[in-house]
Amino acid sequence: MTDNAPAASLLIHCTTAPYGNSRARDAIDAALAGAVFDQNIQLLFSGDGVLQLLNNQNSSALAQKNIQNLLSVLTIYGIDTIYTQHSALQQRGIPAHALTLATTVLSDDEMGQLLDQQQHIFSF
Amino acid sequence: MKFTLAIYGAPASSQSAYTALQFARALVAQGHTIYRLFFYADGIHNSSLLATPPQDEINLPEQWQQFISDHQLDAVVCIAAALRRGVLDQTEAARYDKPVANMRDNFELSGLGQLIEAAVNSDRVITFGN
Repeated sequence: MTDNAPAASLLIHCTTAPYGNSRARDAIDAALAGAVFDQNIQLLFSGDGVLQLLNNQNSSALAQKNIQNLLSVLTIYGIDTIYTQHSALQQRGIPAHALTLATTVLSDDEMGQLLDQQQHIFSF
Repeated sequence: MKFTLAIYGAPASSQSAYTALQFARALVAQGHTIYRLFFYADGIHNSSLLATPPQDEINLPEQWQQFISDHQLDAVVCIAAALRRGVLDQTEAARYDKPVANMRDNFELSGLGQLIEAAVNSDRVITFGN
């Protein structure tokens, strides 16, 4: 840790698809809590986690809140460093422009480097 | 080193809760400091007063409570996650007009901010997931 780092570098790593369990929401709630406490929060969506970012979600039949509403709040809280895993998008046939948020798409190597740089990682 | 443990798995449903306790015990035995235990999502069930496993199985909430008490640890249960899942302390049971409180002593309900604060003040954050 350097003296000129005012806030902790925390990465929220989202690896789970939304709605099947609470993990996706739990992750975003943690990210927002981090932002409220003035931390440097970054989000990484990998594997099935990229499915959280699909556009035009309709969760009403699941009696669940649409996670897109929660994701849209991220920028308001100052969280705009959002990464996605290129291979995850490719394997699922999702073009980056079809996502509900603007993200920086990473190769697996770059993803490894990103994880390496973090002070702490919360995996969901 | 100072550790924070984030526990997301429930007793009986997931092995991660027991792994977390064993890891916590090992940390203490090795002379490390546990800054905070944070129970989130299904992990809140580790604070349950009413969980009643069979006699030949361990009672994880009871063991957690003992461990927390023995070492005077800060054990926080995420209030939003706990309320949703039905584990309430006396205050919340009264607030929501419930007939009973079912959270063990030595655990404290609080917000996600406590998880963030713990991360900022710890050398290591270890997550015990599914």
